Amino acid sequence: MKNARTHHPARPAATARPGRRPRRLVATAAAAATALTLLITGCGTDSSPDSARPEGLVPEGQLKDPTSTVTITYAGAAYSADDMKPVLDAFHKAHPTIKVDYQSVPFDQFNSVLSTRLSRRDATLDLFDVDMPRTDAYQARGWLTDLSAAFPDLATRVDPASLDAATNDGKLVALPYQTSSQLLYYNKKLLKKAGVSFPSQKAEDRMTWEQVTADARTAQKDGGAKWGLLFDQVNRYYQLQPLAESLGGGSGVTGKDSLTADLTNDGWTKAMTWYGSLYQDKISPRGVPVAQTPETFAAGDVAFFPGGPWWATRFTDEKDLDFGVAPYPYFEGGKPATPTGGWSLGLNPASKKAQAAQIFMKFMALDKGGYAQYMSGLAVPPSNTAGTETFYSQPVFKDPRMAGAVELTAHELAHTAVLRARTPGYVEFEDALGRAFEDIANGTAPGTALTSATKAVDQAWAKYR
Amino acid sequence: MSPTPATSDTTRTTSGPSAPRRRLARGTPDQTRRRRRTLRDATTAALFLLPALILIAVLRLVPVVQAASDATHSSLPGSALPPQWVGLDNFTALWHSDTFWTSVQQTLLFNVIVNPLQIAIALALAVLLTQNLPASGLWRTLVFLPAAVPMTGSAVVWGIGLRPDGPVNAVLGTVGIDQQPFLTSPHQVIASLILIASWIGVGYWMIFLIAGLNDIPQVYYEAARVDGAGPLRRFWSITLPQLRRPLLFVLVADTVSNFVLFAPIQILTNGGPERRTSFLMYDIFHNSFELADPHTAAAELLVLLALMIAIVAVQFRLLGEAEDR
Repeated sequence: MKNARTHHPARPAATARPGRRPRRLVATAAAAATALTLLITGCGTDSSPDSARPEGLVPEGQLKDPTSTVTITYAGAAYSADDMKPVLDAFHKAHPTIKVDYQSVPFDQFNSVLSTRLSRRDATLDLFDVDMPRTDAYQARGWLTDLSAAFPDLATRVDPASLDAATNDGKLVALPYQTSSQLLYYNKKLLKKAGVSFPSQKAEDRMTWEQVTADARTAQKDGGAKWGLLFDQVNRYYQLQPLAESLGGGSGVTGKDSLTADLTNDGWTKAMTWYGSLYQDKISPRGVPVAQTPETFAAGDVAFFPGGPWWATRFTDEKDLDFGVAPYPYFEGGKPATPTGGWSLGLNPASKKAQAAQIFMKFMALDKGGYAQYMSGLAVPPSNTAGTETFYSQPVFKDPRMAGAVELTAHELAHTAVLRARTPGYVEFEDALGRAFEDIANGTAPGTALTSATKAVDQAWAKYR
Repeated sequence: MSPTPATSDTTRTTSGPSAPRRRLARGTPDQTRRRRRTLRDATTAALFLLPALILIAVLRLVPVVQAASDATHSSLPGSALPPQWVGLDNFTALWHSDTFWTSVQQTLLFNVIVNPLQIAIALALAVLLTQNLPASGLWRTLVFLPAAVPMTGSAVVWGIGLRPDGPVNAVLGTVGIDQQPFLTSPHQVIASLILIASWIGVGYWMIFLIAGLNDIPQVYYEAARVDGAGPLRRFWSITLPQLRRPLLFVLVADTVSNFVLFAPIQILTNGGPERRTSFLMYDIFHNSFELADPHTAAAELLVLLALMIAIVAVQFRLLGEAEDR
């Protein structure tokens, strides 16, 4: 090799420019590294010390529309821009001097979008959706405004669980507008073919998860179901917490300040062992992301689908999909427990258009039943008690396939609904649990996954203590 | 900004034969003029350099300083309240965090495998495609093509392809291989990501190596052939040594790009299963944006930076040795 080089002066460039390339490489490496730095630090915190409250908030009786046009910005994750259009159209008609700029953000990105905008005291965002279990976490971060004086008499106008979820330390910090419940959808065609009797739609005849598992297996074996049972939100605490609650495992959080994870008790371990076995036994499919689960049921591939009532409009659109609804199951020897909670509206403390925003909040959550009266395909109950009537008289509930859903939802909200854990560290908690659920579904031993989630949560919560 | 004054000045002083004599005759004013010209040249140079200097400061120095500042402050995640000075507390917290150590370990593991592998394949392809094959331009294009597809696009497609009930398993099934979990298994996820990253990267790095191969004078090979060297011997004794510089460039650049690999992880695994793909770059994003904790993220970022600088420094040492020979 040495010979080849010294004998041929054809490549003097190799030695004539020593160091030039390295320097360029250093620059490349540094550029890459610093570009990263920029990416991350570009959104570092930069907050002013004063904890400002927006000016202009008044008790709701004294609200006045602005005289010249005011535009408020509202970032939401509960509904798409299309869903919101009729609500906004009605609002713009009723309040011509206020324009609402609605920005729909996918749920998975919502927390990062809010943290970037609110932690920088960005006044260009006025209103945002608040996922109910995150209320305490947002309040601890200084993202919410005290609305106690602005909406003084809510107790008679919204359901108690929603009001409780929007209250922190005795103060109303968000305006609740939507709650939720869950149903067990089942595919009649697949069950019939397998000779499995349909589940009852009555709350008192609620199926056990054990029974559902057995029927799901039969539907796969004899009914040609590709999958026996598929959860709507395969990796979310919202839908899986009731499994542990049913077995007495609790919400997963204990302690006076709600900063101690309690995920390795018998209830959680047993519930998650069952959950993991669904995937182990190929009753549920591995590797199907949350966004694709409802489509799998809509395509007629799944026998049982515990899921949100918001999919009712999607499923009733499928003319050939023969399905029914039943109560959310519970474990043998346990108690019925169903998911609940929904969305509130939060007001950015840095907002410069608080009164216009307050008028919209009132319209959205309270006026004559609020937003629910304008949404045709709404299948999630509003928090507002006046709005529930409109909700239950919607066309989607008239579809024979949805028979029993109204009574069931009303019953669950009143008797079996369990709120998610309330803790200032909810974001980290939900994140760690989401990973644990995914790992359990993918075959990790439930004990191992829950222990490592507990450890991750405890380490992440150190900064709150 | 315009270079015109300096040019016209030069033209004037060298325009006529009398110019040097005049300059000698009037020594002091001439010195003044020269000084003025130097000053003007310096100003012009500064003006030309200014945009680059500003960019370096804004894009490189300021972020590093800010990262250091963020890393030594802390506040409740996402808090609107002002952050407090905490010294090295964020680093201590990282030191005690299992999540962080898993990230470091998995980042290193991934890079130790993916970089040599990608370079070996890229080199093999480069050698193969410089062998006067028929339609070699077509093959090169085909191998390079994945690099031209946006990474997010390829990640989504691979995600669907590698689903347990996806097309890759369907193909494996036809040849009698059992369904594989790929991205959903803690034991296969790293290998799956290496496959995806290499599918994207190999063609790109191959192009640099082909350029390097074409630079090697044919006479070496002819001389070696006359001396009776076989193809393997020629590869070890001519191709590899002559390719050392492009190879080291590819090594450094590939290492940097794999250390900051992000899109496939964010799209396909979210750091799972069992945090096996929670590489540092992803974990930094996760802490900063999903958990709203830029302070921990900044501390982690500085660790990643130090790690990369150390590894790239070692690679430069190799490069230096290569050039000394």
